[in-house]
Amino acid sequence: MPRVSAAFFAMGLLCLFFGGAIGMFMAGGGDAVYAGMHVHLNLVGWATMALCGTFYALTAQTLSPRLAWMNFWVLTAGIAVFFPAYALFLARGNDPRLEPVMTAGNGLTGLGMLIFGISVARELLRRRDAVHTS
Amino acid sequence: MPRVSATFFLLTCLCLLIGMGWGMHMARMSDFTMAPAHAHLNILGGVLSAIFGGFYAMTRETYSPRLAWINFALSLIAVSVTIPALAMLLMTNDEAKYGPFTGIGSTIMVLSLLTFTISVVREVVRRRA
Repeated sequence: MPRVSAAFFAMGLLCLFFGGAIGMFMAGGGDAVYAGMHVHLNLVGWATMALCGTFYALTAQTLSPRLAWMNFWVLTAGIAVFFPAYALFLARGNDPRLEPVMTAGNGLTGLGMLIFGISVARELLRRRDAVHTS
Repeated sequence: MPRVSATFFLLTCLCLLIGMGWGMHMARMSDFTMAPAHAHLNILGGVLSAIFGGFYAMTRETYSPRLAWINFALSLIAVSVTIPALAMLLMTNDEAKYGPFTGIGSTIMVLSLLTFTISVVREVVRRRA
């Protein structure tokens, strides 16, 4: 597995720990307003990171390391900006002052997905040898 | 990675980009009526496609391309039918009009999953050296 894939999994796991902890907090009688945060940490943080990491591991021979790392850092930045702002937003009863920060984080996450899209299109369109043409 | 896997991942990107944009739009409008459609687009279109694509890339020496492409086509049709129908259903509450389409769409999704199951079972039971 290329290092960038392992980095995706490591960062995804970090999100999963937080996402899981929030779930356990709610299950233990904590405030259920954090449900949205639990779901999105697990899906945007963990599932998306893991599927990107898997994609790059499966294209280890043909990936562009520059695109892959750009994908990793932009996605990570998006998550690092969005989730703390989202937590504060929820803790303060939907404080509208945090909305621009959340939007910025979401924009970065979207940009990360767009970079992932370029990597995928690159893999789809690359020239193939005769053995694996399917 | 075989082309069918890359195509699955492309569907993942497309669904996640639309799904994330949709989520941001709901947040901006503070109207979460469409949340189930957003969630199902991300999970059925995004996550499941990536899992399917990943599996076929990992079994590239032994998978059946025909089954893999059927799996893809069914997923694509299922998502394209289910999600708009679900969105319309949530928006209008017109169960009589849109209910059948969500039903047909999700049935196609189950067929896609069954196709994937055949691929997986095929890989489980195949003869090994």
